Amino acid sequence: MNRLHSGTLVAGFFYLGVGIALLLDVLDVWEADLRLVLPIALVALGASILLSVRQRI
Amino acid sequence: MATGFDRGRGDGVVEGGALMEPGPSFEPPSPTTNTMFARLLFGAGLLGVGLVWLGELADWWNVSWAVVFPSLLIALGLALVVLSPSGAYPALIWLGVPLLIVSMLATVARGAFNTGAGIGDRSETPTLESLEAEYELGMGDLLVDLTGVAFPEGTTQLRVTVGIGKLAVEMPAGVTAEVKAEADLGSVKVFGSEDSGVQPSLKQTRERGSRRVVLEAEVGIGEVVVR
Repeated sequence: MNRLHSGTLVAGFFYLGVGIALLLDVLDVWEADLRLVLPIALVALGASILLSVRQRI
Repeated sequence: MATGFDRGRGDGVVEGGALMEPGPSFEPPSPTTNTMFARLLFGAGLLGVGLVWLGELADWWNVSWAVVFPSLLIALGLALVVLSPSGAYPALIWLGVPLLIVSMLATVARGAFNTGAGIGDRSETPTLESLEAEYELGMGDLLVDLTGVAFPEGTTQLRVTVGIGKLAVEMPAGVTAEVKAEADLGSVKVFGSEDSGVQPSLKQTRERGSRRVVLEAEVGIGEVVVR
């Protein structure tokens, strides 16, 4: 898996997680804290970069 | 003629009209194949949104956009996870950014995305006979004046929501008011107390005798005032 592939995977999990959280919030099943979205996006981006570096070593 | 799919599976895939098994020299799909997948998903998404919209306009069904957009985001996320071993899909990743923003807005202001909730400024001054359990406005200012309601003994439950805009509720002086006010983004003011920012929330009880009104006041983006 190259750098771009890991980016695709991380972005996929990010969109999947946020989408599920928002849908559960709309359906009143679970209350999503929207303040968490930006830090989680940063974590996902950081993880993606670290994964790409690890694959190159 | 070889397509992007064919190229991804190696040369000579289509032979005499029959699809052959990929050879041992299998290579990851080319950027052309990835672009085609991205186009397919983008087209399917547009088709889905168009059909939902058409059905709404034709009164075939009533679907909340606040459900549609996060569902599309989930579909996109799943597609990226499934497709990630086969290559990079920058177009799909970037497609997710506006979809994420619209999904968050739709969730925050879900009332505004409910087409049946109405748009514009509205004022309600009910009596006990005309009192409804729920008042809703999609976008605009909503004033619910309850001072003319002779609430009966016991507990009366009310719910008032606005998607985007200002919600004001006037409570009668002679009843106990149990108020829960929330906004996803904006400010809430209840009997002089105030909270503001992202997801402000206030719970206030004003004791005034045995007649009790339990009020839930909620705004997606905007202001809630209960006095």
